[in-house]
Amino acid sequence: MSTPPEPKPAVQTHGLTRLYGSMVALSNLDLTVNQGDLFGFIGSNGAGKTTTLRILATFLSPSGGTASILGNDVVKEADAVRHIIGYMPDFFGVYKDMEVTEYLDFFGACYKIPSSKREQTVNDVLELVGLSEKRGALIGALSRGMQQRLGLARVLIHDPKVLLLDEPASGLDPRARIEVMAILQELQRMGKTIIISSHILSELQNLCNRVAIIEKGKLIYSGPVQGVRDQLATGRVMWVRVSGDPGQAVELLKSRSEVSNVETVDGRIKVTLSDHESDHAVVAETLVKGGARLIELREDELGLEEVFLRVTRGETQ
Amino acid sequence: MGGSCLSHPAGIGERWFVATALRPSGLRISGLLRILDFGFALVRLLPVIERELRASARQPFTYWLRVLGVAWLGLGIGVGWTLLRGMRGMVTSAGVDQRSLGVMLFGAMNFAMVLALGLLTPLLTADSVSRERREGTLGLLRLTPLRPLDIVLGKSIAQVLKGLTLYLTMLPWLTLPVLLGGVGMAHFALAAELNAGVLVLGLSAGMLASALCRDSAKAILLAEGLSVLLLAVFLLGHQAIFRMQVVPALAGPGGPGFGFSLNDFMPGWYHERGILSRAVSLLFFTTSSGVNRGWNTGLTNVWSDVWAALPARSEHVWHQAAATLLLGCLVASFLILWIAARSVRSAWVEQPPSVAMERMRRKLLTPRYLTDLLQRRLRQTLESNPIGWLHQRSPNARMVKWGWVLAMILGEFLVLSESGGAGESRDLRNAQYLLALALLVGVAFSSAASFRHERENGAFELLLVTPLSVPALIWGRLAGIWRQFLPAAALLAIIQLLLRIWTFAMGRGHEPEVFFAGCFAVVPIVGLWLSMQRRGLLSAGLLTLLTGVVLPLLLVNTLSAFKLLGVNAANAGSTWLVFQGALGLFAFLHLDRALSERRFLSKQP
Ligand SMILES: Nc1ncnc2c1ncn2[C@@H]1O[C@H](COP(=O)(O)OP(=O)(O)OP(=O)(O)O)[C@@H](O)[C@H]1O
Ligand SMILES: [Mg+2]
Repeated sequence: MSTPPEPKPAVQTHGLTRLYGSMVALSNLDLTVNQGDLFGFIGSNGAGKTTTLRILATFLSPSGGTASILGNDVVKEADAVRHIIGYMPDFFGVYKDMEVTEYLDFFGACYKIPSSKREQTVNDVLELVGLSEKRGALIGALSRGMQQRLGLARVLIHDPKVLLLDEPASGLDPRARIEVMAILQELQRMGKTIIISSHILSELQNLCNRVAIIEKGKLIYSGPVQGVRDQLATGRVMWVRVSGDPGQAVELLKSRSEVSNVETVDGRIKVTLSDHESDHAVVAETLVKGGARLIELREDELGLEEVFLRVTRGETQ
Repeated sequence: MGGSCLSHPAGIGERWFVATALRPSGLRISGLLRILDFGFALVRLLPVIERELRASARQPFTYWLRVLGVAWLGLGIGVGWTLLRGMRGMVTSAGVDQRSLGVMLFGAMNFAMVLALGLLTPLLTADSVSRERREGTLGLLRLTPLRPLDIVLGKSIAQVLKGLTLYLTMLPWLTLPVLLGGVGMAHFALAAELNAGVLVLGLSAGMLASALCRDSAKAILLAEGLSVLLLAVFLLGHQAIFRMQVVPALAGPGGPGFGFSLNDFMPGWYHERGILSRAVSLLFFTTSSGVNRGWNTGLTNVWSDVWAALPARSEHVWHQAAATLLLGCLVASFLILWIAARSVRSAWVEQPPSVAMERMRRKLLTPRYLTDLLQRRLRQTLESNPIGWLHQRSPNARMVKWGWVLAMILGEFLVLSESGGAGESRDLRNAQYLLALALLVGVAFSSAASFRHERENGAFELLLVTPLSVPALIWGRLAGIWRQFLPAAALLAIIQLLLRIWTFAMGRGHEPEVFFAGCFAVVPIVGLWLSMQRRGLLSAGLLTLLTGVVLPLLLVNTLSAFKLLGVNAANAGSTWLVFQGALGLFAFLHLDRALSERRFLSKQP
């Protein structure tokens, strides 16, 4: 395989900060999303996801720092940015008494798509999100999932290069969720850059190639999905079982500097290593040398979710 | 929000149930049990009342309403003062006739108070049930043991408390003329009785409208309509009861006897032929604003005359009559509340918009032979001004548009049905101004409501990230509003022109036309601006009227009355133009800033 070409940034922020009054909603966010990325933006309630996306969508202006989309500054070149982004907020923003096509037609007109092209475009996007059969329906009569897909169709109406989607899968049933995800992957294949926010890391781990985690307005991780665990798991956990009294084994382990914590849970010993790099063979070695009879030694498979919970533990606002 | 009201009534409901179950079914020992019943009912209502009061305490509108009530009275004084300036006869060589001043002021203020009660109190209740329906909390209340009547009664009692504050804010002012003389405390007491009836009717009208509508704008409109209707019935009732109880006393021993004619006490009613003038004279009769036939042909005070004519022993009859009327109002309003409760029961479950119904409505409201034309025109609008299209697209919008034209035509016919006579052309012109004012009320509320929908459903945020600039957004909306009201306004303008030609009044001052044209241009801007500042539709709409219509009128009139800043009657028209232009510009710039800075965000609940 040849080395991939240097990825070009689609979205870039430098020191992005936003205050609401004296409340810091976003502080010094440095974020880079490359072209063609399906980028997960993860954080708990009030972390600042919506604020970030609103700034990128030119809806809010930042209190400090800069953000640019495909090289266009979101403040100074807002008009250019608006043509290349599609923004879907975390609510529908629909007129319940409009028909599906009427709604898309209206937004098409707002984006100044010539009326000759509009009908075709509307059909195409409806096809893409799987709403073709509902084209004449009143929006108020659509289910939640369908309204969400209509929102997605609206985002696509002017063929934007960058999609900013705020929790597009919230409130959907598992099937609809999978369908939306499939649509997103299809869009990625079409070459669009997509930023999608969510509370749930595991939801995005198979979908996104890169993620960022944000907490209390601060970026705590940005990079490939696989890197999350390596970087964020504060310590590795090993589960140990010895025959006989675990007390002695506990004392042995506690004497090691690589071990930060030892406790017994249901007759098993939970060993937390102080830092991620340390070799876990140290546990076996200590026990065997100390004369304990080791029955079981296993590394804890930390789920992404648990990593996320650890990172954000007690930090939700 | 609903925590206390959902947990609370359950316990009370149980007790209520026990009390009902314990009632010996065969025996009808009503007395004690009825009282118990009533006591329990009141206890059961408490959570609703409490919740209602707490919710309304958060509404800045309650505060505004009180302020408005006071302002309205100020207006009453203003009216009295203006009239007074016209009554040169009152100023004798000995100075101002204080008693006439008292009579005048009493009439003007009481008139203002009745109008304020009749028009403002329905607003208190107009959105109370419909809001719960929109927010879906009505369905939650359904899960509690509360009955529809409990909810309606509880809400009404809470609003009665609020209405009473309004009433009590205004009532003391009426003692002011009593101090001046010419009117006595008996006048004051009678006004207190009669106006309480108006208050009760207004509240129940609002309640019924609120139970029938889901949409706040519709509820408000219906509430006002119902209230005006009830006020008319009330006035007729007052006249009837006056005839039945007071007139015989007048004719009795010690009364004016054969020499008197009913006409003397009911100025206007028997002279007038048209519906409008009869209504107005009825209103004058019930509020003692004894202005007889026009504004300057001499002044009588009906109440004083009647009291003077009543034999000493029978002075109480009028009070009795008023008390009977008040009782009637209470019964009537309870009936209305009962009807409201019934419609609340049928509205428990929130129905989603029915597709078939919507289709049908669209079909019915779009005449077939016009469909093509209409569609084509709508499409053109969509291309050139998508935001304006938003304002015109729905069948509702078309209904409003042509409904106003219809209302104007009806209004003109009402006026034409009036009697002929010397004052005809003047009456016609005054009627024109009234119709134009009504249209402005529509413009004010329509503009104050227009971005509200987008803010509520979130589409606003979407519109602001489209390539449409903020000024384009504002202009688009303004164009939509202007277009909606253009046919009705044009109709009024044409009739006005014809009136001018027919009555050879072409050369007279054109200040009123200038004023209304200015209002028509500026009020939408002010309305859009204030809709960003105020959360409620009502407060935004009323404030728009106050800022866009009343304020310029008062300001320029005051300036020209006192010849301040070089303003006089001759250049009042151009002063208006300048003032309104400045107001419009200010509102536009402010709106532009508010939208650009997304200041409406924090205003969202
Ligand atoms: N209009 C506003 N006025 C004041 N504070 C705000 C406003 N909007 C957001 N905030 C605050 O900014 C912080 C970040 O909010 P934001 O909506 O960006 O969070 P989020 O990550 O999208 O949360 P959620 O997952 O709940 O949607 C929160 O503490 C919130 O209270
Ligand atoms: Mg959010």
